[in-house]
Amino acid sequence: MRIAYFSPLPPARTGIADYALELLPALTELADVALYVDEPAAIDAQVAMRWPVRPLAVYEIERWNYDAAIFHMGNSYFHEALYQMLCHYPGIVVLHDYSLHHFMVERSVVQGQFAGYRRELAYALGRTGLQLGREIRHSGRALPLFDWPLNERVIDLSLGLIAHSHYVAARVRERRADLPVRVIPQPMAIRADKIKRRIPVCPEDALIFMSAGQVTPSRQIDVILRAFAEVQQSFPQAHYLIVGEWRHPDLNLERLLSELQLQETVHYVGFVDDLDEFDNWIASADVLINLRHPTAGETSAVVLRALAAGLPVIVSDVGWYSELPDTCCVKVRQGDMSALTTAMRSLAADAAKRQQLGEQALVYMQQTHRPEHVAAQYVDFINESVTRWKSLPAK
Amino acid sequence: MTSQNMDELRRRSVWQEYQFKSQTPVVGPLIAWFRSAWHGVAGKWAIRFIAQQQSTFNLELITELSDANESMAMNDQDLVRLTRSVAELTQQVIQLQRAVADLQAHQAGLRVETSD
Repeated sequence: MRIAYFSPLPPARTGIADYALELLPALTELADVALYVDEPAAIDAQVAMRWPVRPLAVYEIERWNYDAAIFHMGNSYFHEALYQMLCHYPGIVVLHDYSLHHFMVERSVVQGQFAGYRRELAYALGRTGLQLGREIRHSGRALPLFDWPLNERVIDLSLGLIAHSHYVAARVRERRADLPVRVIPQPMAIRADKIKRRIPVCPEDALIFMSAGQVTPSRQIDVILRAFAEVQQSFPQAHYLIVGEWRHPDLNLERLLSELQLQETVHYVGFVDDLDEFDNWIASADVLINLRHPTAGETSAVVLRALAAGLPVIVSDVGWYSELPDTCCVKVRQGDMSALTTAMRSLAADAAKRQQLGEQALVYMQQTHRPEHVAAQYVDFINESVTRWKSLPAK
Repeated sequence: MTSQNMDELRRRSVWQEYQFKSQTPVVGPLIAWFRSAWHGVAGKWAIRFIAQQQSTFNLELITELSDANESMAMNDQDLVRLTRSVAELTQQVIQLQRAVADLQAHQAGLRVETSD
């Protein structure tokens, strides 16, 4: 089997590039894979040495050589070039985020092409979308980023679709009942070899809560820190680490920490460039917290990294997060501050419970997210698609 | 045609009556008044009539352009459906090519066996 693989690749700062590194070694054991990117010269040397990297421009001619093309679509501008290719030469889509609204805004409004955004609204909502576009343009009304997913064109173009959650798959099927959809878990290898960092700012016996990954408004860091302030009163040895790029311009962390009197116990680490180092930071925590509101129907690689490191996690009870087994995480409803505080207190107080959740996390990851297991499901789905294409009725 | 262009066209489509002005010191307002009065006698009504026709034409043209833009957006669904259909047929052709190649290889093998 020969596969053309379209995805952001390292060093692109997106979790989907890291995803490729998890999946590709296992997928290559089962199929011949060629990577298509807009700038082959910019790709990480380790990747370029291991797999053939081809420029997107030649795919038009080379597409006859492949049994299937796989397009990894996510909600960021990293996907622009492959999205354009998808629009011309559709294939199997891996929908990493259910909502692609931010992506559509970045490729239109942010580039000074409001008409492109309006066209996408029209594609999704018909005349209502055109009218909405007009209103947004003339009244300066805020972009409805979480009201509509604007993924309709991508779903309609797909020849098959891979989702990471039943939450996303069900919504895709609502749009296109005829589209073959398969839920395949995100690949993530066990990270048992990770080194717990010694964190100089925290005492040896500190109990470490952590948020990792980009700090955006939807990650609810302000809500988490308010809950932590309460927990910290009962557990003075508790510290909070924030590891990730700050992308929350409306929140002044220093001011919030000062207000909550958490300057000594909350530490902002910032963006960690190296993936191994990032994993080491995650492994240094005792509990990882990853809330999401609103959800864009995404899968959280950070949560999976934590589970793969044997960490208990606290997540929002929404979308993909709801589908995680209760044996390895604690779920809290959106806006339920008391549930969040209780969950944090409970895990802070009970080392045995933390250990039990962590052990179950490893079992779950080994059973469900092992890259070899995931790659086999990819190949199975592609084979199924090929069989279907072979038997398409003559048109 | 972008919506920015469309907005600008709409803004400029209606004819605005010219306001006479003069930069000449002291007597400037008098000159402007005189020109305005002369225009009122000689050309105002004819120009207004022509301008009204032009404004109506402009607005109709913009409405047509706007409708064309809308139907282009609406045709997107058909375009996507057709693109997907072509892609499915391409996949079918690829698989048929493979099958033909396999058959040819098989046939070549049979020929070798027969000649032996």
